[in-house]
Amino acid sequence: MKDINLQEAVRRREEQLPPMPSDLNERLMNSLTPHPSPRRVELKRLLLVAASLVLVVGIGFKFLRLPKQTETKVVQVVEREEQPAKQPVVEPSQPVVAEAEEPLQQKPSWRSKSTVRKKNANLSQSLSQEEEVAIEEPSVPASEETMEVFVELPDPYLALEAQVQDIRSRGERFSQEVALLMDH
Amino acid sequence: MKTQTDNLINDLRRQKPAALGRLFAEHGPTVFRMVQRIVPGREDAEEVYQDVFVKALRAIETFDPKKATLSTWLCRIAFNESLNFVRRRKPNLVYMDDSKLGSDSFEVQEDAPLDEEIIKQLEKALSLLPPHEQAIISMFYYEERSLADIAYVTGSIPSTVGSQLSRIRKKLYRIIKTL
Repeated sequence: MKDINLQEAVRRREEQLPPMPSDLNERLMNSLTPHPSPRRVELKRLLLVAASLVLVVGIGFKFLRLPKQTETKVVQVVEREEQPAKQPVVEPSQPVVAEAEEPLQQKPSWRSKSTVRKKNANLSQSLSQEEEVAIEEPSVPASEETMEVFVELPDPYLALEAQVQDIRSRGERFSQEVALLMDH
Repeated sequence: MKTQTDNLINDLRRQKPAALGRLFAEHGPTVFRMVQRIVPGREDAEEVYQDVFVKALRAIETFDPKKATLSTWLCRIAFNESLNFVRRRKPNLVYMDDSKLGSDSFEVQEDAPLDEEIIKQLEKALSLLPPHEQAIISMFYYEERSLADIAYVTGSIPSTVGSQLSRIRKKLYRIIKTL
């Protein structure tokens, strides 16, 4: 037989205990069931969007750059072909000296002081002087189109190459002139 | 024929979220009460409560319905977790020593009538008992659990539980005399 006084005392003590919180089971459920946090989901989405944007921009940039490079190359090729045509053709019957001045006047903007070497020293002295003067004179500004081309060409070596060809052609013309004078 | 408890246990083993809700709803109050008897403070009690169910879900595969009911099994986990918590947090707490209360041959009137004065004194005396003794008295006198169930919860045997209950009751009346 149980002690009724002790039983009553225990019952009163138990009733004094605070009740279980109503949201305790819900909190426990949330802590036990795994689910992705909204922050993590948002971060993943942002990273995906950023990565796709970078990819698109990178591909687009690459495709945009390619046509420009081809255009510059085309310009360079075109200018190479045009430059020899601009140089006047020297005819043996015509006086060379007079015509030689024209090409000299049309020389490019390259301001090199290198002189053209002549085979005949005596004749070449006078001619070379004229030529040196002509060469060392402030260059006649080339046509605007040529200037524009040289300015626009991204490759400086291509510009130099054109000028070297021009100098060679002038050299050949002078040698022809000398030969003609010698004959006369 | 499977009972509702058997279905609940099977669902818990399959980690069904609905089974968790049922488990908390059906056995949560009993578990929380067991924890409250031993662990002082609301926040600590909630923490231990969550630890009890976490441990129970991890050990659900080892539950044997032949040895005890699901409620008794959960109370055992709650009893042990609560005592461990109290020992970790308050290792230096000293309770009323039995030896200071006099001889063990003190006789208690078994069929005494209801006495309000004695009841109030017993309430004070109960607060001076160690937590595990308070839990044993509550399981027997409030929840009216059998000696076998109390033995399963405390990890003892029924005869030992009977002896403990008698000793604790005598201890309470000796405390009353000292108050």
